[in-house]
Amino acid sequence: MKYKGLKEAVRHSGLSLRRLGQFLIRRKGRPGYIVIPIVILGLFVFVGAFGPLLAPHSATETNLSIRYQPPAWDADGSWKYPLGTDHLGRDILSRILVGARVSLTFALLAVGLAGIIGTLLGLIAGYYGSWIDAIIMRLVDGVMSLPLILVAMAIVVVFGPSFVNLLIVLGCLMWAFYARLVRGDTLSIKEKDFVALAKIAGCSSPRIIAHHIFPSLVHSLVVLATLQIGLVILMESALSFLGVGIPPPTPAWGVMVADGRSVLDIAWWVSLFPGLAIGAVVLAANLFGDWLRDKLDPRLRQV
Amino acid sequence: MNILLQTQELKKYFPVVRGFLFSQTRGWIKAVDGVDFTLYEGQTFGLVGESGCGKTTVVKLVLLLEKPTSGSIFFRGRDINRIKRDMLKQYRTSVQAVFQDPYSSLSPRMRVESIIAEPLKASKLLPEKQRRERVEAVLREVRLDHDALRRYPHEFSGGQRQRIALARALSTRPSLLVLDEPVSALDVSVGAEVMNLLKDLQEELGLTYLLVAHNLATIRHMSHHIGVMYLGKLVEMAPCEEFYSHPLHPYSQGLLHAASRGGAVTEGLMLTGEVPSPLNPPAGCHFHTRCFAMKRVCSEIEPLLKEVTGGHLVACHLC
Repeated sequence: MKYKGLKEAVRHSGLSLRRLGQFLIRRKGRPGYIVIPIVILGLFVFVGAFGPLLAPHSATETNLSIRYQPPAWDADGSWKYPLGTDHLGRDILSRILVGARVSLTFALLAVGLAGIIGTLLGLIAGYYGSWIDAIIMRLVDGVMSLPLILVAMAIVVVFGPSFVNLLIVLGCLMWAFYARLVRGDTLSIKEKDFVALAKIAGCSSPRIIAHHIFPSLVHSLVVLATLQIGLVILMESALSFLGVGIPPPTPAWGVMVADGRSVLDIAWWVSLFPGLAIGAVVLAANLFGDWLRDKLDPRLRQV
Repeated sequence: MNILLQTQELKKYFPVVRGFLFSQTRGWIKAVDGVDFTLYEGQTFGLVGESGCGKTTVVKLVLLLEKPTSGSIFFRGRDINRIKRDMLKQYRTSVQAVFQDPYSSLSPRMRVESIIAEPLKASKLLPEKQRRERVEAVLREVRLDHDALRRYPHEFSGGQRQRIALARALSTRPSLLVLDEPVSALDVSVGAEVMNLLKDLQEELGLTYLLVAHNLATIRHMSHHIGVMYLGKLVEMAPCEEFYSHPLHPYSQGLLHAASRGGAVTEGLMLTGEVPSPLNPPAGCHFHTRCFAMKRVCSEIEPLLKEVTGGHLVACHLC
């Protein structure tokens, strides 16, 4: 009877598994799957903001007596360490939660830095044209032809691994994507009548760029930045995994995956969970970026 | 009548560049090739011609969007390509423009208020408070409601947008308005409304117009003087009524004939064939390849613009 009432209530509220499925797959002709990446990204940002408060244990404190505790659902595991512990007895869950902040701030700063450099140079190249354009675009071609990971590794090896160094390296390598996109858009926007009319009105070139050209670029930039966030997190993790990223004991996800590399056969959980976290966030950022692109700027498909 | 703007032997050639690494100039497109005309204060000069004849290049030269290859433009007696910075600023505020496409001439992400106020802001002509008053004043002049100020361009129809563009152009109280096909993108009825508005404003504010259009009816309705362009040159220039009653150049006759359409089509007057490439215009009179009255001399010697009757100039060997 009790259950019947509940069923009835569910039916009346319009909730059903079938409906949920329909909602996630297709809603008014558009894929509704986008809810999932948004939830993941929302969770990521939330954890990035409050992670250290949510973590049940310290992320850096070591205790060798409890090393390689398996996750809670394993026969030997306990709910004290839900995702187990690593080779120094640190709680994996706590480290993932705290590590989210590292990834989030790093991704935002790197994308911001690359975005600012790239947008400025792209605007200048597209607007002024001639030899300025030629110089900037050859620079872009040069940067684009570099193998990102390899160059980042080389530079970090020279200057030493640190959060700031890695940030500068990635910012200085990834601006080229923005410059190329922004230049192309600027070239087409500057031929519009409203730009000619702004010149006729007596506006200076910086004013035309800031007030007339830049506002029309914003949504392409938002799309590109979203897609780049996934890429930056992946790069940061890869570099950290290789030992030239964010140095320990900061709980970066890439470092955590690397920590479990040699013990995969006996303590798979040390690498798996941070790896899943990276995968989920990168996938969510890419899906969300694709969706945003289709909504705002379908022209960008080649990026 | 006071002369406001005058051009002298105005020329604009665009290079045709071929080749990638070692580019070479393979020729010149003579978009504007020696054009002289005069704008009198408070009057409209109408420039007609088929597309590609150089009308828009003339507009760009007058608006300083392009530099002339040679020749000069005098505004109140001063050569605008040789004046100092502060005079240039003054020129920028006294010459404004309205373009053809009202959908691309308004910045899509600016409110109407900022769009109209922008020429004032850029030239620092008025203090903040008076700026606001001026914006409201020009909005009234173009017969738009006050609540338009807080909205965005996409909320308006083509005719309304064209009036917003006009309000912006009027905000600095210019003496010359350059109208590049101002009504050809609009519906006929809306276009007529805008034309009448332009005529009223000319009377109220004593404006001078340089009107560029391909539509002869528009030109006739608005202009005091008319110039006909063909392949970068003026082929005929006359006061409005004189031009419509006695067109002299065969090209003008063909244009008027094509526009009238009402009566029977007179075979000889029909304009046939394509406009020749401006990269390689025909020798002699540029029009001789399409002219119904072509004589031998036409393909050999280029006719010069000469005065036939009072104020009526034509470049044709046969007139």
